[in-house]
Order: sequence, then C-alpha cells, then structure tokens
Amino acid sequence: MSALGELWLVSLVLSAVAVLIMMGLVIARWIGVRRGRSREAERRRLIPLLLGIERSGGDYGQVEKAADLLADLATELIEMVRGEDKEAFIESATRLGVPERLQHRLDRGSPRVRLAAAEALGFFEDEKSIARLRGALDDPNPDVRLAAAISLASAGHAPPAVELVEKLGIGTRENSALVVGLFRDIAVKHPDEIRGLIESEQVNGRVKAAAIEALSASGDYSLVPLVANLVLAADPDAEELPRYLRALGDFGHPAAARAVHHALGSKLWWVRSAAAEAAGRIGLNDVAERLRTLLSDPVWWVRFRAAEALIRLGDEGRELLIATAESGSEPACSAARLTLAERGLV
Amino acid sequence: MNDWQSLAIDAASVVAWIVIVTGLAQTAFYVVQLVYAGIALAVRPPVARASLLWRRYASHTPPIAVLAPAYNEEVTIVESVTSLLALHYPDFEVIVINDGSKDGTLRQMIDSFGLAQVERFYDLSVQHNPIRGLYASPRIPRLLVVDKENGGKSDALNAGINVARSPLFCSIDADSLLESDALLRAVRPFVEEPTLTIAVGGTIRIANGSTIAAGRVLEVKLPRNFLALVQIVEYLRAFLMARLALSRMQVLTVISGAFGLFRRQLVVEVGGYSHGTVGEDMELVVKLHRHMRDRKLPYRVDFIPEPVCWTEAPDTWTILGRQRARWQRGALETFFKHRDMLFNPRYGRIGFVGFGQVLIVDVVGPIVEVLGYFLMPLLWAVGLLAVDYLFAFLAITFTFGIFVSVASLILEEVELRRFGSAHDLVVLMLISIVENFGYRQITNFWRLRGFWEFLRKKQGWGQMTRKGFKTS
Amino acid sequence: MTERKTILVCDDDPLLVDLLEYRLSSRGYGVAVTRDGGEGLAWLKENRPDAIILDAMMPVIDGYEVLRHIRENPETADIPVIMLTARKQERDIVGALELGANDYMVKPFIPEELAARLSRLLEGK
Repeated sequence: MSALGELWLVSLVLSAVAVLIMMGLVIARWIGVRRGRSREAERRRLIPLLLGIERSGGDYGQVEKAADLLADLATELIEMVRGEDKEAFIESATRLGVPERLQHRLDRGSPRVRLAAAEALGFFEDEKSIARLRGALDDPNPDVRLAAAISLASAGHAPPAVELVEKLGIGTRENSALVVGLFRDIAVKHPDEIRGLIESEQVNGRVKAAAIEALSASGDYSLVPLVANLVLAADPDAEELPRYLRALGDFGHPAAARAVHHALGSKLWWVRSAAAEAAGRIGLNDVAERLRTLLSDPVWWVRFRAAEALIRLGDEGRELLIATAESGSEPACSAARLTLAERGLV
Repeated sequence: MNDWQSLAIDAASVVAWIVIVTGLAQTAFYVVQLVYAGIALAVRPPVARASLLWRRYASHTPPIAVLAPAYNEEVTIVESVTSLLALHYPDFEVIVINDGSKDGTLRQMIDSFGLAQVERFYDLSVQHNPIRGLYASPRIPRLLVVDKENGGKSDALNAGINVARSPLFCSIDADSLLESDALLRAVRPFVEEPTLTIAVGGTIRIANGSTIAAGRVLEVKLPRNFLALVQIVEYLRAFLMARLALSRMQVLTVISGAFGLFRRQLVVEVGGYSHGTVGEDMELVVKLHRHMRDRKLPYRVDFIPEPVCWTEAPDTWTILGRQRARWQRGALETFFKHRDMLFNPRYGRIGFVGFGQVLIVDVVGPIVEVLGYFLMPLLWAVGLLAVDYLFAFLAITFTFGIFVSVASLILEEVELRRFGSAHDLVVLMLISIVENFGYRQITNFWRLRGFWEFLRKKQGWGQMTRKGFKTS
Repeated sequence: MTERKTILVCDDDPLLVDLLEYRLSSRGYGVAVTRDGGEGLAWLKENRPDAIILDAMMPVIDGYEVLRHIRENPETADIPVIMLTARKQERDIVGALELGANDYMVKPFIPEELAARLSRLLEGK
C-alpha cells in the first residue's frame, strides 16, 4: 500500500481511538453523576462530625470510606475561620484521619492534587505531616515545591531561608510573587534569616527585593539605612529599584532621604515615579521643589505620582500645586489643577 | 495524444500534492498542538475551587482596571455594571466607557448608581476622541464612568486605558458575561512571573442555551440550535487546544477582544489599540510581540485554559457567515500589516511558528482546501488521479478533523469538566463528528468571502451582528 | 421561651452557611438562608429578620448592592447588617460602612466573635 493510502488508515485509526476514549469518559461521567448524589448525603453526615457537634463513635468505618470528601470539607472549613474554632476543626479533622489522607495525596496524586495537599497539610503540625512537607520541597512540580515551603513556613517549621532560596531557585527559576508571603511567614519566627538575605552577597536583587517587601510592614527602622544603601549602590537600571523604593515608602522613615533624592534623578521613568511616591509617603519636604519640577515630566505616571506626593506633603506641597496650577506651563499646570480638583482642594 | 495525457496526469498530481501537503501540514500542526495543550494542562492544571485561588493569591495580586466599552446599551447597562462590580478580586476598578451612545446609556448609569461628574487627572498618551466627562460616586468607589464622543470599540478602549490607574487592565466586550472569578484566574501568570508576563488570554465559551441571569451564566446547558452547538465544539478546539498550545510554545498571537488582561504601560508604549481595523484584538498582541522583540526584552504572553468569559454566539447562517468573513478579514489585515515579521529571524519563534501558523491556517489553508473540494473529485472522476489521492484528501478533510475535534473534547472532560451531564457529552461528541461533513466546508467558503472583502478593502463593519457592542 | 430572633444569612458558600446555621441555632436563633443576593432581596420582601449576615462577594448581585437596596427601602432600612468580606482594602471597608453596614468582619473570621457582635447589635436595638 502506498504512503497515501496509509494516511487514510492512520486517520481512521486515530479518530476511532479518540471516539472510543470519549465514550469511556462518557460512561465514567455517568457513573460519577450517580455517585455525586450519594456525595451530598455523605456531606450532610460528615459536617456535624467536623464541626464537633457529634462525636464519631461506632461508624468510624463509614468515615474511612468517605476519606476524600472528608479531607476536602475539613480543609475548606479550616481555611474559613480563625481562633479557637480553627483549632477545634483541626483537632476533629486530625481525629478523623484527615492528615493521613492528605499525606497520601501528597505522595501519589497528580500535580493538582499534590498542590492542594501541600497547601492543606500546613494546618496540621504533627511530625509526620511536617516530614512529608519537607519531602515535598523536592517535588518535580515547582508549584508543589513552593506550596510546601509556604505551608512549612506558616506552621513555623521552614528550613533556613538561605537553604530554601537555593532549593526552590528563588530569584532565578522561581519568581512568583508568593515568595514575599513565604518570607513574611518565615520572618514571624526568624526575622534574622530574612534580614540575612538582604545583607547577603550571595543572593540576587530579586531575592533581596522580596525579602525587603516581606519586612517592610515590620516597622524595624534599622532596615531603612540598609535598603537606602541598596538603592544608592544599585545598577541605575536594576529592575528591583522600584520595589526597594516602595518599601522605603512603606517604612516612611526620613533616613531614606538621600536614596529617594538620588532616585528622583533617575533616567528611567518607573524609578522616578516610584521615588516620587516614596517621597510623599515619607513626607520629605526637602524634595518638594524637586517634585514640582517632576510635574512637567514627559511620562504621565511620574507627573501623577509627583502631584500625589505634593498633596501628601501638606500645606507646603499644596501651595506649590496651587502656584503651578495658576501660573505653570503645560503639562505641569494641568497635572496640578486636575489633582487639586480631584481632591476637592480648589 | 499520449504526451498530452501524461502531462495532464502530471499536472493533476502536482495539484493533488499541493492540496494534500498543505492539509497535512495543518493536521500535523494540530496534532502537535494537542500534545502541547496536554502538557500545558498537566504542568499547570486548572484550579477547580475559586476560594482556593483567593487564599493562594489574594495578598499578592496587582490591581486591575476592567475596561467595559458601551454603545447604546441602555436596556442592559445597569445589570452588566452591577455584575462587573460583583467580580471576585481583591482590588479592581470598573471603568465603563460610554462611546457617545445615542440612547440613555449614560443617564441610566447616573440615575441608578447616583453618579456625579468628577475631575480626575488622567493620561493622554494613547489617541482617542475627546472625553466629555467623568462620573463617579463616593458610595461605589470601584466605579468610574467615562463619557466620550463616539469612535468605535478601539477608540473607547484607548480612552479607558488613559483613564485607568492600575498596572493591569482587562478589556472586555459589552456583551461579555464574565465568570465571578475570571480576574482571579487570569491574573495567575502575572503572580507567577511578575516581571515577564505582559498579557494573558482566557477561554471564551458559548452562552447559548445556558441559564443566564443578571449578567452571569448560572447553569451550563447545551443549546438546541445546531449552529450554536457546532460553535461550542469550534471554541473548544480554538481555545483549549490551539491557544493553550500556542501559549505553551510562547507564540500566541491572538487574545480575544471578549476578555484579555494586559500590562497597561506596555500597551501605552505601542500606542494602544489601532483604529480602522476589524481585528484590533489580534493586532494589539502582534504589536506587543514586535515591541518586546525589537527591544530584545524577555517577556511572556500567556493563556489560561479555564473559562473566564461567556458570549452569545450567532445562531443564524447569515450572521455567522458575516462574523466569520470579518474574522478572516481581521486576521488577514493583521498578517499583511505585519508581514515583515514572517520568517524574520529578528522575531524568532513569533516570525516562524506564530506567523507561519497564521500563514498555513488563515492565509493559504482556506484557499487550498476549497480548491481541493472541487479539483480532487473532478480529477479523480475524469481518471487523472489515482484513488489513493482521493482517500488521502478525505483523510485530511474529514477523519483527521474528527480526531482533532474529539480530542479537544477529551481534554475538556479530563481537565475542566464544565458540561453538565453525560448526555451533553454524547451530543457534543456527535457534533464533533458531524461538523466535518458540511459545516466545515461552509466555514471555508465564508473565509474565502472574508478574503474577497479584504482584497476589495471593504471599509467599515457592514451590517453589525453582535447584540452587544456596536459602532457607527 | 421569649420570642426567637431570626437571622438572615446571605452567602453563596454552602459550607460557611452550614457553619453559621449550626452555630447560630445552637445559640437559640432562628436562621434563614439565602444563597445569593437576588434570593436574599426576594426573601426580604416577604419576611423581616432581626439581623442580617451578608457576604460581600456573591455572584450576580454582590453584598454591597444588596446592602444598598436594604438601606434604600424604608421597610428594611433599620435592620442591623453585619458584612462578611474577604477583602481587606480600606476602600471596601469604608464603602461598606458608607452604605450603612453596622459592622463588618474579614474572612477568615472567628465565629465566636461574630456571635458576640451579633448579640451586641441585637441588644443595642
């Protein structure tokens, strides 16, 4: 038979196989729907157990049968609340064997199942769960690795931050914004480790930026000179500069003045706009005149941030805006006038 | 006589080979896409439970501005805006752009939401017709209405881009029905790769037949109309297979105008949406690719397989035909406007795979396939072609088509499972088979009509078809 | 037993509804459940609860919109409302209070605290 004829055969076989698989899925769905009906009944039975209203007595075997549903419900319930109720739910879930089920899923499931299991296991602080989560730091799927790290950190059992950076490839392979949350969780127990990352020569700017953001709400002002020095020392087009500046704004401490002043003169608009924002949040009245000149910046974002910052600077800033609105040239005049109008300050 | 005959046979087999090789190239690329789509779903599986997404991402999501253009929508606008304000996302603003409606669209919004005219300092970087006024209310801090002079959808979106103050914006159609968690799902690539991701598309589904209330799809049901049913299968193939796979290869060149998430500043840098094209959604993504490649900056254009948006599909032959002709024209306009990117090493895989794909599927494909319908049976009937050729052609147009459609349905059922019942699946499977006999051929003729319109440089929108956004 | 107070719970999360139902009825309240904003408003046309626990994020009509309707209708304007919200932004909390919410709680929440705030609101009436 010729190659052309084979094409016909191949196409027939392929579509026949696809149709057969699809028919299998249809049957699976049909069975699934029938199971779903009994699922609702199961759910009704399990919720009182989880809420601790009924203690499971003789029908423990039945609970075992519904282990998967139970694990799902328990996880959702625990996520929903805080305080004593959370502790109580964790306790009843543990009694009903939920951690074992989750451990099993973390070992054997598809990436989706493993990910959810890694996230849920963080609620249970028994040794086995912690050990499994440690193991999951080497999972082939990056999302599962990160989730395991976050779970460990929120339970206060994370390995040292430097080790995690290495293991997960943070700042190189792993750039997720979730890393900031991870660092924040670690910092609850070990702020020194995260601070260590900011000071370390071994990690790159992205790791430092995430570490700084994680600590920027901490009110630890001894970090301000550290971050300010990073701004002054950074490569002028480093992508982390806006993140450093935003953190300086979060701290709101005037020790950042020199760094902010320096960044206001950057040739990159996103650095200028981040610096203008920081200046306003810190309340750096020394740079008011400088902000005024930025009202005629070619990029709108810079003009917008500068105008906002001047409003934040109080009377002095407002007077500068009013003066610009009355006698400045475009585009500064519009920037000032509209910003004042927007705040109802005209 | 013999010479003439053998020449004719040679010529016939050359034609046959062209038809078969083109079709085969298309089919081969579809099979590759299926594999890539499978990989994409395995590596980044869709998340079923929205509360899980919230818990995972809520403290790390950037603010989003939802840009909703509206033209003569007074009947539905309040309901649509209410439903947009009910989106599940940590921090967003809804910017409705009234594109010079001739009816009471603006009045309806002012009255229902208690809006008053406000001043706001906004950007003027991208071009659009003048803004007449901005409206807001302190009681609904997430809503801003822009009233501007009519200029069409691109123009309205450009005004929205200028007014938006979020790092990301989400452009939608006036008749897009968004899933509550659409933003939360679509933002995922921006959270996972915050520095690289510049645009994200999501799966669009067909709302016909489903239960809809107040701008939301409440229950997914199949329509009874054949055309709407076929389009469900077509959309599965286009989104769950093609776009997902193309994004996995990092060569996605289209993000649907019905729902797309973009990094605002980059869109400003490329001048926003272009005026005077029917395929402005595709054109924007191509401009972004060009911009990033020209500057040699690393970037990602991503796609998430989860359905984020529902749209009402045309259910009559005439309107559907017009829509397809317009889509074809849009694709051609973008392709020829940016033809220097084709096979241009400067644009890397976008030039080779992305544009190559458009060349085979949208430019050469329809012409050659229609040619095949006429020539292959004819040449075989007059004895110029061996029967093997005919079978090969049948394989390409019919049986491989069935395989690709059913395989897309398999992906859906394994990973997303959004259809209601086993019965629905059986119906869709039958449709995936039937559509290859007749419907597919007709869509190819519609595409040729689009070709013809493109060549004649037909201007304007013709008779507008969507019940939603209209332009003058 | 003196009159039983009725609480309307309006939330689309079935598990959260179950939890509140168990907790509130164990404290002697009568609990009515509606699964979305539209259903909640429809229920309010026929009935009058002593207080409402309202989820801010619901599909179709969200909690803010429901609250707006409740406050605009003279029949329901004085019913105490506690908003439950997963959003922590200032503008959402201010927005809720601006619209006339009596109290708000951020999810994940402490059920005991919710019950305490609820009984305080009911006594204050």
